[in-house]
Amino acid sequence: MITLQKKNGRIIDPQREVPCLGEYDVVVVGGGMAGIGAAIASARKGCKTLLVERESALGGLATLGLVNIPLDFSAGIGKEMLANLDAVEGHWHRNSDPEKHKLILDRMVTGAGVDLLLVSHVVDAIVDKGRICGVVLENKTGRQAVLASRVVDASGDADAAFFAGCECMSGRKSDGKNQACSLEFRLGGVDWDKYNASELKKNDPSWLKLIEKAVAEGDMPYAIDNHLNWVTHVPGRPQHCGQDEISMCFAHSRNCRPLDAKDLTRMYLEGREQADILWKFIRKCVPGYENCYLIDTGTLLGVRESRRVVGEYVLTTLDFARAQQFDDVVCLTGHHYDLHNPDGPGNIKWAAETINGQTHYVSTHGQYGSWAPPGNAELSDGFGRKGKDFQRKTLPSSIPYRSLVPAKIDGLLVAGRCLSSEFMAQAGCRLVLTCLNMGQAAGTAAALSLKHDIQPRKVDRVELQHVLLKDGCDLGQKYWEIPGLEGELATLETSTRT
Amino acid sequence: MKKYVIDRGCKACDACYWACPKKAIYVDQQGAHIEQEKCVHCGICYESCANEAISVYEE
Repeated sequence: MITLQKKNGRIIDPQREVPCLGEYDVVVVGGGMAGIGAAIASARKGCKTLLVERESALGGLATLGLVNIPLDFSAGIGKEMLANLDAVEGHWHRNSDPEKHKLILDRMVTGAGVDLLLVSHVVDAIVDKGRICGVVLENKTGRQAVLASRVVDASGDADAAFFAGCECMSGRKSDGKNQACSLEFRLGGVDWDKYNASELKKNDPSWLKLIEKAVAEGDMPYAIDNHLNWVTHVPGRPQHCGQDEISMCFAHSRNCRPLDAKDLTRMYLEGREQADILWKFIRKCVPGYENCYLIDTGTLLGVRESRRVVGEYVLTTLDFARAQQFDDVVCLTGHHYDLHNPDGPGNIKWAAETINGQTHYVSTHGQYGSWAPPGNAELSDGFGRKGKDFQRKTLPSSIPYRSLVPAKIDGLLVAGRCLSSEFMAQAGCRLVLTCLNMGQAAGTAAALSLKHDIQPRKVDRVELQHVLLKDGCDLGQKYWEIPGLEGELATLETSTRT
Repeated sequence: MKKYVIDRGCKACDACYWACPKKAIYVDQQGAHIEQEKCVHCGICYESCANEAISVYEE
């Protein structure tokens, strides 16, 4: 209880005594994919670890957000997770069953010896002389503090880092706008075989022409998006009898402010209204969906980008396009620039960058996405090559350890979509398994920094990489040599993106 | 023998390109293509495709 005191239109919340829930070696904020990787890695290295999640289940967007498409390099804990999902028939074609996924993650996290606290919001950070030493939680019990030697911020929005005083970026440079947000939904009663064999799937797989026609004829009141982003076929359901289940990324809110509760509320309401429009349009217009029905919309809004912490290194847009090989690589991604238009339909797969003093419209794959650059300018690759000299990216992009270490505050690491990166680089570093792999690196680094009693920024990258490789992580050893680790790479089994 | 063909609405996402252990897949503006002479019929691409764009034919 606080006694009402007002000052300049604000309510005074005096510093209060709060009970201490416990002391941990490592506290991980956020139980999404990055937090799961961090918590499991840290606990397996012998650290007393607490994982704090604000929702009622683990997995974040991959489960509660219905983003059941665990893409990117499967290695380390990610590979183990997919194997566990396979064992319960919860995974095929890189599509997962969100419900089985939750259960698998519960078992993996508790099995690793992590203390788990659900339904708890992190509302503040405790800082002493420039070092984070705990977080403040609020839940049904009230307000509590947890002390920690190391904190891994995997909240997605860099909440703990921000509360601790880290410098953060958000949105694109030109106007500060964040990526569009999506509320995914699931449909049942789908005849998947019929859809898969249809002319639509074959000739217009992103439904571009279908949507254009639907808008012109009034089946869709406005272009909620100009293309179908993805549709996944949920495993473990009845097949070949018109009773398949699919999950879909279609609804989009634009001009989003994902750090503002009022705007989040607007987006949830808008997402559910859009899902209502979309499933009816789909039932009317898409072959195989004639008897479909809406099962549910996501519990969690698909926020693609919000706060990004300023770290020891800021991964640049050109680093990403050039597949820059960092000595301190801890994670890979095979993805491309993947920007969901902040203020209109469609996506953008190029970035305006200056190379040798000239403006280039840089692409990793030579595709515009929905919108061409100004004046239909030709695309360049990361090195400014155009036309017949354009080279598609053939190596994966690396994420350096320094992008997981905030520049200002000690005792803190970040992982997941809040990594230290420029706007367009982040747009390619946010896939499900990229986040999990980043989390594993951050959790392992937290454990090593405790083992040697040094700050995370002082962790020896060779030792960290050595441990990650032993734990099955993919640091690109198949593609390039990592200085300091040449000798042992030959003996390691290489992982794949499958 | 199984023949894998990308023929059902490829979206050129590159997943199969990274997954293929034999570098038998290339991707261009039209989408991904399997070079049959390099393919070892392991089926890894088939499972890697989140879009189910790859068909399998018995030969």
